[in-house]
Amino acid sequence: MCNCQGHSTSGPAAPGVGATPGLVPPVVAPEVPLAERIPIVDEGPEGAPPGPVPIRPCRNSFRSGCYVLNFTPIDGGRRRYEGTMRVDRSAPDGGPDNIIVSGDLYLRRIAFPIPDAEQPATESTAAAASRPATDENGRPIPILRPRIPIFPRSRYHSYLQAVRVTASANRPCTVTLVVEQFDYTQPAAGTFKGSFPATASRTVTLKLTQVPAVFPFTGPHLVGRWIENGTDKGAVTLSWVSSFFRRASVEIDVLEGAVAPQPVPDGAGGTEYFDTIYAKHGWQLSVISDQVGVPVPAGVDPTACWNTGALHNLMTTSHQPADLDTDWRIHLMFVPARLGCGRGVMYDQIDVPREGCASFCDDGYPLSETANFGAAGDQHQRDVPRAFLRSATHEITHTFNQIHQEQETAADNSIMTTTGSVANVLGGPTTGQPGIFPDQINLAVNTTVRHHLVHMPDPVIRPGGWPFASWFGSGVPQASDHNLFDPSELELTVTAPATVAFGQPYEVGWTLTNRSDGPLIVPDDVSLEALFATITITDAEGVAHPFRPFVIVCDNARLAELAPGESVSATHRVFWSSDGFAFPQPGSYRLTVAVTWSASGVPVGVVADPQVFVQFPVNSVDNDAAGLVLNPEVGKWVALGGNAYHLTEATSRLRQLADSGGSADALADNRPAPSLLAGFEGLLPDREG
Amino acid sequence: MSDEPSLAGEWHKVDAPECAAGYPEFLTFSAGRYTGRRGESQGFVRWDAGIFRLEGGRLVLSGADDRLVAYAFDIDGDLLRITDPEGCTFSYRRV
Repeated sequence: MCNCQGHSTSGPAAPGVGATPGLVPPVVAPEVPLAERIPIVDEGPEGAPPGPVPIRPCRNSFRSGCYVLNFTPIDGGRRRYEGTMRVDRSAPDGGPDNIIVSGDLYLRRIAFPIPDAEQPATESTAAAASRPATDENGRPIPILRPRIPIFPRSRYHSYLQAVRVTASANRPCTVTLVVEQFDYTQPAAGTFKGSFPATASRTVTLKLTQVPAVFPFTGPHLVGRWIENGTDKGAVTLSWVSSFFRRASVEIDVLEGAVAPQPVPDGAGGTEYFDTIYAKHGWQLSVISDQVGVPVPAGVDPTACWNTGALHNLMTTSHQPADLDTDWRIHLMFVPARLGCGRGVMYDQIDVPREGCASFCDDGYPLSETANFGAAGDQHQRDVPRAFLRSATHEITHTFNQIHQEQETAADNSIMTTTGSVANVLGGPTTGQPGIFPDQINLAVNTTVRHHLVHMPDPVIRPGGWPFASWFGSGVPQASDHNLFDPSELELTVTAPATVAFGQPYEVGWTLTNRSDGPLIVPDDVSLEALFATITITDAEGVAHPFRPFVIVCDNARLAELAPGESVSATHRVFWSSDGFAFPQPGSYRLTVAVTWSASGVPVGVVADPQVFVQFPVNSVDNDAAGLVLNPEVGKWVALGGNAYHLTEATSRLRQLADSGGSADALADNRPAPSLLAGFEGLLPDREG
Repeated sequence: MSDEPSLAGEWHKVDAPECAAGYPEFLTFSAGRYTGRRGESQGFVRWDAGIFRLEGGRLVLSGADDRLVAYAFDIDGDLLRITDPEGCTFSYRRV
């Protein structure tokens, strides 16, 4: 359970605010470059001595949002580059300085060489800022209200990942970006998946100064130089165009006999719908409600489960023609279907990838799937508005190339977890009671999916780009996906008993120690709740399960200096999580503790994996005690640290456990205390609920 | 009482040819849902979480893109053998 629910807002949401905090980081890193959080280094004007508080501070020089980026190489001839840069200062995983910067660059050829391209590096910033915008033929483009630009897929050139930001606190307002550039290899003719190199093609420094915006731009406007290996390569401009990071549109068509979901209350006097849900994640999603009553295709039973071919045909005959090189436009079709068809599908893996998806209004929430559907059990989607909206948004998000979180991270109450898993996450002692499923459905993606939606390269995300899930890594677990420290540099030691009684909470401690000669930047909180540390338990059959914290601490842990010889530690009582008991049966297990983080864009970490043997009960006392405590409510009691007297079943069972060992009656009868009792020290109830 | 075989429980992939690399190493069936877990060296798996049922002698299951696909299958003791629409045959053993 997370202490930090995302909230919808009435009215326009602040872009990028509202993702469900992820319970665990991705188990596999995407096989594409992906910008990570970075620190902002404050820097005064060059040569200026440190002084009193500046009287002309810089404001909004690097405002969050989308910037149009233009790069004019000195020796590029007819070659220029244009694209977008996303300055994300609202990412839940943005780190202590809360900033992630990524961008996409496209090649732009012009018909006639413009003398500007041959200007020497000494061109003034005023001149560079005053060059007129021109089209491919050198003609000034019409003055339109700036918005997030979209460029043709075939002209995609490279992905930009900022690894360092330096900004001045006072005027002149400067920003220096160190960016890793990953050159893109276009897909072969007839295919849709290109490739990025595993390491950056080059590192670029953008030295920028804020200047007055050039009409029609109104936001922050920065001009400067593009520098590679200390060599000035040309002029660069960044012009802010939107508080959103990306934009797209969804065209909705409804088959005869079907309905589409309607906006649902947000609990704050407003409503939530596809556009407001995406606005939480920094996307400007335009909803185009196109046709209603689309005729049922001949030979198709609309109340049966639809095959992908029939859905693709329906899309091609009903959707408005879309130029995917100028509009990230997807098609969402609502058809009836019936219970048991899967509630929706991202069917379009035919020809051009990910153009459309479908949602089934007469599918629903059969109790045969999970009892945790509660009040929505056996109802059709059309009659459960919040769940219907969630399910349709799930398919839209598949179409933007996002995958189930059961596979990428863990099941949670977020849009890309399958519906049944969401119900199971919400399930528990209150299953079936009003107000659980669907009311507690969180209409937001989690941190991982939000990160992808904002910062994955354009070709991976956009409709008509990479095929579904083709960005997914090759299966190396995340811990080994990181650059691991040598123990002589940074050592992780795990303190845990080699054996534990069956049903006994298992106290595990771990310590991170700097064994090197200099300071290292490491997490200052390595507890499980701070999400830098993870525990994975592998049983004797080789089946691995992540052990997730029941509570997440939302005050962001930070990266901080750890001096040589210094340590940072944490402990955790491993017993039960929302996935069940850590050691559900006696036997041998391997416990893997990993502490991982991103060091200036480089994934690093440390791992330790001791063995533990869970002992078989040796007598009826141990057996009975295990039967008492291996109960989900007792699990929650332990996960909450005890004193959870609202858990009446747990309170009762633990009172019985307390009475079974060490009591006067037990001692009088020469009854031994249960072996597992030692693990409940400090956890037993001291009153009757 | 139904004569349909029960898939409930955990299964581990065995006897898997190269064509089955996209199916998860481990499967868990419970009630009307399943979850698939990747093995350590596996990439993206097409069965990750969703619904399943036995229908008309076939295993119908929703995949990673929520598509509902029917698979030929048979159970012999603790061995579950599946053939996908492309003709790839692979097996799981009940854990």
